[in-house]
Amino acid sequence: MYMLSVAVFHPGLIWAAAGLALVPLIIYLLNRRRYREVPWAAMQFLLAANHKSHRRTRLEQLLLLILRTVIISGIAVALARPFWPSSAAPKILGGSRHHILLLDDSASMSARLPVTPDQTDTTTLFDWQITRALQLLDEVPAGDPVTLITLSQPARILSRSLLFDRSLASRVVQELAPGEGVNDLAGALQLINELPAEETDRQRALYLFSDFTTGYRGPVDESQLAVMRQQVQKLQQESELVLFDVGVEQQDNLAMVEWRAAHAVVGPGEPLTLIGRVHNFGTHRHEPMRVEIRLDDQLLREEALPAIEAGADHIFQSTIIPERSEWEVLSARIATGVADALSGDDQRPAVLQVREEIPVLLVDGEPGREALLGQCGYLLTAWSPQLRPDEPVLVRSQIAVETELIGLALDRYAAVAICNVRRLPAEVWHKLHEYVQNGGGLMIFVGDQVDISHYNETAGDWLPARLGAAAFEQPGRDEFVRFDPRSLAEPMQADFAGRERSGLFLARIDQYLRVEGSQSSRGAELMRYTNGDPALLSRTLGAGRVVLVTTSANMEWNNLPAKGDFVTLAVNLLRYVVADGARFNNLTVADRYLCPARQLEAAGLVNSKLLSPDGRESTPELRRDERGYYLQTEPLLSSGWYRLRFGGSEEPIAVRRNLADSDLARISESEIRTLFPEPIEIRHVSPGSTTTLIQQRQEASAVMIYALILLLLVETLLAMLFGHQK
Amino acid sequence: MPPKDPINPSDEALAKDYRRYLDPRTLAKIANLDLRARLVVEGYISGMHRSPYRGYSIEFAQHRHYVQGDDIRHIDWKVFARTNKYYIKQYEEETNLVCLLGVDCSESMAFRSSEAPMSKHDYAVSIAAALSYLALRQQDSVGLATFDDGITRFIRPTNNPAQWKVVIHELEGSTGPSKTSLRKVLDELSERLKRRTLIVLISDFFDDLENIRQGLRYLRYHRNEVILCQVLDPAELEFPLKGPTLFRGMEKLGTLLAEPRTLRERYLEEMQRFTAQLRRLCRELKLDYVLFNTRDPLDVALSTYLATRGATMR
Repeated sequence: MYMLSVAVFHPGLIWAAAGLALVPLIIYLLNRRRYREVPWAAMQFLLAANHKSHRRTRLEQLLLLILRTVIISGIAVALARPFWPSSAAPKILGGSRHHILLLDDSASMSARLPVTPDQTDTTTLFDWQITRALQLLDEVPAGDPVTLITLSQPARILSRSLLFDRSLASRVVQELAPGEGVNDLAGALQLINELPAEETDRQRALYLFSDFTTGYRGPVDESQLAVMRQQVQKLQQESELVLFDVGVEQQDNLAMVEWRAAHAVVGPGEPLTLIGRVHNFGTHRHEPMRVEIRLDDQLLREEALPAIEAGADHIFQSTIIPERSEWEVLSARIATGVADALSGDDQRPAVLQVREEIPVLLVDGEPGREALLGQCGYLLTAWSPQLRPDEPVLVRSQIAVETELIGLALDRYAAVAICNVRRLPAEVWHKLHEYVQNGGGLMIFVGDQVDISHYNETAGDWLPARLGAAAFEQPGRDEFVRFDPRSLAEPMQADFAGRERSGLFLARIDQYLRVEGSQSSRGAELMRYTNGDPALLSRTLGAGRVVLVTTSANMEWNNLPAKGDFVTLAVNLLRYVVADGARFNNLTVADRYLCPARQLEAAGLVNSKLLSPDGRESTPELRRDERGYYLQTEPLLSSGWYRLRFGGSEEPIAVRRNLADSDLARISESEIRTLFPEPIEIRHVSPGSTTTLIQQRQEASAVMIYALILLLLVETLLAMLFGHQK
Repeated sequence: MPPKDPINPSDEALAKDYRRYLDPRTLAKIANLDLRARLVVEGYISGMHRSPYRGYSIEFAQHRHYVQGDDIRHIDWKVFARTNKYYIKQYEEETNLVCLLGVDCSESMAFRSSEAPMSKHDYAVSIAAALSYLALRQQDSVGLATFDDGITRFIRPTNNPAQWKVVIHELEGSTGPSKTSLRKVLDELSERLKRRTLIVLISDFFDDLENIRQGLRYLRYHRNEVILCQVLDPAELEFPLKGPTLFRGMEKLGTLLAEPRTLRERYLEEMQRFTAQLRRLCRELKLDYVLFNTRDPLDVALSTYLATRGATMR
């Protein structure tokens, strides 16, 4: 019970008190060592006296020692300014105080208060918070200044200067609308610490309203948490901090936590799989429901979902066939009628880029070989199966030799495949590295021509692994391996999981290159051979990916191209490395839209405009850094569709809810106290309670000083009585 | 004005200045015990202006018939002339009081606190020397016994003036490491003393009271008069020590680390109870008891001696 708790302003002095408590004991022990020695004749009387008074003397000494310890440590505790909340004691801070209200407008505060099914009350935690904040403003003594800060990311100060007019402050609070971001406590604390000097002269009282749900945890990184704790402690040294817990017990909430295209290689007429995931954050099983899939806000179809247990997910897929090459705006929404506390996270938008074609560059290490002898021929056939010359293909492959690479502008290609190339100039490797960093996809297929030491020396640092020696001395004899069906990772999983008898796993791998280094030093393994050696490795670099295939893409080292699954594997790899063209367009609330200028039409950038979901218009900034020009907006604070207009074109931007606030489970008080170290007062003002919010804090120091004076008198009297007084 | 001569002072000077030699602080500055004793006694007597005990002589007691073997020098010829019979004149005993000074030389007597001008032993020796001087001056026989857990030196009483030097010489010895064992000492004294004797015991009497009682009772049984002079240091009587102190017990009584303030009350109770019991014992056995604080003048000892002597002689 916080009412019974006593906290201190300066916790450090509590440690000092503990240290000082040892002082009398140390003095006592030192005195026992510092004595004078005298011969004594009347020893028999002294021994008799000591025998009779020994126990009493020890008790007296112990009593005095305890008293002195209590007095000395009590002084340190009193200096630490202990206090407890009560309305009976006089106000200790005196004068006017600067009241800082931290109002939680994060997404979880939009949760409706628990109601019975037949009730239609739509009051939210946020509404309740506003009610209590207005009450608090009423309780603020006249003349005391007020500052209002909202917590939803990014934290904001609602008034530039101090609000001395309480009616004005109340009006500002009343006009406040719930946000959609997560809690930004760190940002809010930073704002308080940066308040102008004239606003920090007064004693301050911080009132933090929050529902304290799991999303409140804020930073999960230990270093961030440590920084935040430091900020809190700094504030606590000079301010009174009261937490108002306006939350209610956990409520049921379903949320659409994932909605995306399965891959980025999307073309007109190509079937596209969309993956959705619904999570039940509540504590009860949720009945079957429907999910609406909308294209440009038009209902496209409905998917029926089964019942979802508490804490469980349900993943569903839906396939569409885009008709034109354009930006597609798709959303999935849990159908209305599902009663949960938070409706804002029931819908999730996604932007897709349907591309006319996807250019891929194949670098052939064996130029001149027939089409289906070299590796490039097999890959080209797999990616661009053009049965007729006029047939449109999505993946437009171009073959080049290594010497041509220097002159090519790689950013024109969505992916580059290096096929059994012996060596590449260092500047080409550098160019490839930069290409991947900027979002390009690179695939490396090895073969008998590959100069292993050259690869390792020039690109070993950033390729998924350093290459090792060939696995078998005499390939084609009895030694061979296969792909291990138990070792699949994305992107192989979707097509091959559970298909152990498919051609991929029956293919015979007669030769491959081993890789060096420990598993932690290598990239992610996408697939392994049956002997455990890595077959496919991947590494993400900047905005792009590199995939290393440790065997060949033709029939020389394996018979995989003879299997039908070769095409699926090649397409999956391509889909895996090709960067999502819409990766800059799918954002989370409070993110900034930030896109390199090369992605946009350069001519129209200067006059670009951003339209928010509610129709407000703003102008993004064109900035430049070492990587060139890029376009940047202010943080996007509403979920839904934004539209970026430039040069007659328009790009949609999907802003999704941060799912951290969908889990309405509340964090424990002990967890709160790890974030806000003592002294902290946590007051539960859940809906329905009507207690006074601003309690005059009672300083225990005055009481303690009286008690210490009394103890001092008692000690003196006892010392005199016991004969210990000099 | 002629300078004062402490050895041969005029009567007036004696009356005025010798009193200060009764003060232990003054006496402590005089190393020579002979001189110290003389100064004490002379100072004491001159302070009284007149000694009522001066000039004792042989006193007639009775006549008896002459029998063969009697010394004819003692025949009273005047009575013979009147009665024509031989009578012998008998007198009171010619010798004055026989006094034995018993001085404790145990280790505890060496104690001297910062409060005291001299140790208990020095004080005891001063008393003994002064008493012996006074006694010899009164024609009394004086003997000396020093003791700790037994009699260490015994000088038979005599009124020979040369006895003074012998006593002084013996008194100038120091204390030993032994503890006091009065029962044994007093029993031994009783055995050695053939005549009725005034025994002056000067000690701190830090011994078992029952042992002391037995020893004194034995002395009294032999019709000896006893004066108990208990010599204690002011620190032992007042216990004024402060601060943590390690008391190292004399006479092998161990050590004690204590805060004196916490023990003071109990200690004084114990000490007072002991002296009260000793005083009660003396009263029971009809003995004189005098408690000396080594800070006090010595004339009390002389007065007590003379008072007891007078009572004994009557």
